Amino acid sequence: MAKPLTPAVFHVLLALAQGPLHGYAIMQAARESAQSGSAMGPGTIYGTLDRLLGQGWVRELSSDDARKRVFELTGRGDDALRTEAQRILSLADVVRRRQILTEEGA
Amino acid sequence: MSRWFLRAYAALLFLYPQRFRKRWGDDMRRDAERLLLEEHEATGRWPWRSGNRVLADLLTSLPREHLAARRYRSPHPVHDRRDTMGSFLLDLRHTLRGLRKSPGYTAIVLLVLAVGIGANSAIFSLVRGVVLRPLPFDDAQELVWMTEAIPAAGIPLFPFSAPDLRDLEERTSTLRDVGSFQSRMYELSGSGDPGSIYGVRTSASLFPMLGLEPALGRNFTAEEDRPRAGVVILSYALWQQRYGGAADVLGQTVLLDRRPHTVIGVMPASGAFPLNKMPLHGRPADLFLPMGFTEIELNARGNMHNLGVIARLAEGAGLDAAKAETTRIAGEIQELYGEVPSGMELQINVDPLREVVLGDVRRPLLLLLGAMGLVLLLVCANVASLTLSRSFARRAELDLRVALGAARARIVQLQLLESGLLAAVAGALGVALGALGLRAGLALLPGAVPFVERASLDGPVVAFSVALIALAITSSSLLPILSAAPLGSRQSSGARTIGSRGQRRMQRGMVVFTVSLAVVLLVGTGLLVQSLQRLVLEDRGYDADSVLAMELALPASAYPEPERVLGFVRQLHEEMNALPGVRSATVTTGLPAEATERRGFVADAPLDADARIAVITTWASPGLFDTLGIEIERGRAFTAADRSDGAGVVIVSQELARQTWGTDEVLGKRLRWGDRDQEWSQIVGVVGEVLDGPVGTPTTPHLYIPYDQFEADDLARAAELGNAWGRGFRIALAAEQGDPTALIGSALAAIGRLDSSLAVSRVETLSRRVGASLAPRRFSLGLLSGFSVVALLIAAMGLYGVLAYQVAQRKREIGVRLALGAERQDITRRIVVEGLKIAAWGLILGLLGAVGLGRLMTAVLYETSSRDLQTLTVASAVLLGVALLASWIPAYRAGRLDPAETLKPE
Repeated sequence: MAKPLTPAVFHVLLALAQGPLHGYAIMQAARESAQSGSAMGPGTIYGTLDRLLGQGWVRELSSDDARKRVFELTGRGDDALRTEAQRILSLADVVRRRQILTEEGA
Repeated sequence: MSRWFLRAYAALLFLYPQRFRKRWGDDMRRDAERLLLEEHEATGRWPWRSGNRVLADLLTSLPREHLAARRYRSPHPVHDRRDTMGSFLLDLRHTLRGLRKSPGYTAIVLLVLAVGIGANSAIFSLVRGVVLRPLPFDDAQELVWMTEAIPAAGIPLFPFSAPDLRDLEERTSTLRDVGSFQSRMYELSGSGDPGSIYGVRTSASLFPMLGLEPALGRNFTAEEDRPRAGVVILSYALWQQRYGGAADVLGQTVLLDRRPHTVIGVMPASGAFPLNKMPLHGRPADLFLPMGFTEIELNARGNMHNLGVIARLAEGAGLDAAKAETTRIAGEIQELYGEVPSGMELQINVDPLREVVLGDVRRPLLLLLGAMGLVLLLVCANVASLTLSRSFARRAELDLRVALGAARARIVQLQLLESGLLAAVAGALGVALGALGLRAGLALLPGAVPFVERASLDGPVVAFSVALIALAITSSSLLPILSAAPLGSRQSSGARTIGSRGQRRMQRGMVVFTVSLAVVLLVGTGLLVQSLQRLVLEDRGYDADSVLAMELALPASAYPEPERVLGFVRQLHEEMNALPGVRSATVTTGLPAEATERRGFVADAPLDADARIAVITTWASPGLFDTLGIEIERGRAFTAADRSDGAGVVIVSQELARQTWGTDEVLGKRLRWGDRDQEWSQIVGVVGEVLDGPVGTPTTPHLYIPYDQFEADDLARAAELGNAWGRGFRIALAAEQGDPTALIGSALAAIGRLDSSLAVSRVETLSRRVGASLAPRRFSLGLLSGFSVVALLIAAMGLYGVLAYQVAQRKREIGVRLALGAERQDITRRIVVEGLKIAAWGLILGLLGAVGLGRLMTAVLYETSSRDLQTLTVASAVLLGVALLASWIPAYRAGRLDPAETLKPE
């Protein structure tokens, strides 16, 4: 089974799953989906993009405006995101089956 | 808006690895700016939320990118996150190896840091415990200490009397609560051996006002605040000692002065009262009784001023409002005194309790805090200079690494790791040293300073030490890195690099600086030593060294009739006088430096015929002046013939004679008690001044009365009301020769023969008994001496370290000189001279600094100029001596170098 992704990688991939985005938009989307502002700052986002580009999960689209670099998901990136999503869902299933969250706690 | 923030952010981006910064830096800056702008537009305020977010992100992503960059370049690429730890361990091993290679450097830096941090955390703990923490009472800032005063009669303050306190309580609106206390010795019996214990009477309002709650049982009720209420609250200490902490102590009966009292409460360990240093009997009591003013006390207008009064300011009423109101009330109280000559107005002092309790130790402790700052500077400068030496020595290695392609960030990283490691180890050592030092310090200062018992190496103090360590790290690692700024760009001068002239000058500058700081501390210590010596040698007006003192109290139940008390005192005096080895003995109600009983009297003086003057009054058996060595200036001492049935006689101090009659020629003049139509007493003698306060404070007038003349009526009434007035005695014995403590055995045996059930307490020499007033100064002296020794050690280590390094660096040069026929002594001498030169510069700067800073010390000095020549000379000599030793060791080693060894190719 594949290793879990780090939260930063997961949320960046998740943001790009909706289509190509520029860095700032990725940051805002990741911040929203991660439900925490502090972890998803510029350093984290671009650092993550840097590594994802290196791994070939993300590619940079050529753009007229050098100030707006736009990124999109590659096929491998998409696979990785799906695998991770599957993992989270099956994990959620386990949680549900064991009734860890009771009615009132849920 | 936040231009400066963005500019700082742009600058901080340089901390990222170069490749990363070039690729993403512009985007990051732009996005950060947009984040800030959007929040600013949305909220109209400074975008602190985004600002925090950007900074937090910076801190988390920086190390990540550096690790990533390293993996990227590593010859064996490591992709697994788990290997990060492995590479850290690798770095750590590398650093440890480096440190092991230079054990001298490692040991000295560790020692300097540990000693510096230890000394500082111990001192900081003390200062924090004593000065920075509030008094252990609820809302202590609202509490005030109250006394009365007659400034025109030269009496700046005296304690309240019961009627004056009543009048104040009835009239005030700026004081929410008023509490009072008064102390004396009691005889405790009923369970275990009879003993003399220290009891404090407290008004029912006192403990609730202070927020002190018994741990067991309850406080006194208002109904119990009456004479002979027969209830008692035990202190935690007494409860532990005498009852072993048993919970069933409540309801038990104890005999106090042979009268039954029921235990209704036990104070908690934290509920010690009175605080050490609280004026009037300032030491924690063994037990508490209700105040219960007696008729005598309530009617003693202008008399029996012996109450400690603490009050709480009413809500919204400031100190100034309270002062204004009490001035008015003082005027009203004065009218109740009857006619008072103009100018002799009664006043009421209102002072913050904190100032009263901490007053005279605050300044010395803050001085120590300053000394601590100096030591901190010293430590940092020293570690930096040592690290500097080392990094210059490693310059060749660094240049080589850069030439081979090592990233500068990597070198910085290793350097930081090394400093961090050193600081962490030194910090742990330092905290341990600090704990030891604090314990030793506390053991040396029993009760000299208020709240020393509260000082401990606790959380905030450790945090302070950690901050110190952090500062030391930065100073020790940043400086060499900065000084090595053009790393790599500079041509390497090869393995024999000995550092440029500029670098060596910088190193020497550091050592000069540390030496000068040490000189400042040395001089400060020297000044305090001088000052303390003068204090100890100061004439206090009596001889404390050859006198043994002790205390006892006669219980009213066993000695109800005044005649029996008078008879006992007479007999006791005779017995004591007859003891072998005793030159002279006296039985008195008060000894110097503690007499608190003040009395008002009226004199037949031409001026101020009706002025009631409150003076310190002592009743004593004959022999008082002879025993204590108080000078008799005119007339005679008391004799056994001065009985109560004869005409009343008194002896006055010179100060009293001059204040009242304007002259010393007062033999034959008369005075009497202001509150009663009594017979006039005649002055038969004038004696010298006795110092009651610490040396350096003004003397106060004294009045001496034969104990035989103690008013029988007063004794009888006091006994009826269970009051100890006039029944507590101090016995003073002057030894014929040698140690007065040799008299203890025979004196106790003699007292036992008179009444075997009497409890005798505080048996010690008079010098020990009064020595407490020197304690705060001794305390600062001890600490400052500690600091100077530490400073001297650190400066010496610095000097040694730098010279040793220079010798190591110049091995080759020295080898060549030796090979060419230079004398070994010559080499040694040259290095010693070099060391002394550095020390001399430091000395000159330090002396200038000490003279400049000396002005700050005048507050704690006594009759010592801050430019005391002797002190400056001694400090200089000590420093040069230490410097000589510190330079001689490396110089000696240099002289013994083997030229063949040093010239071997590397």
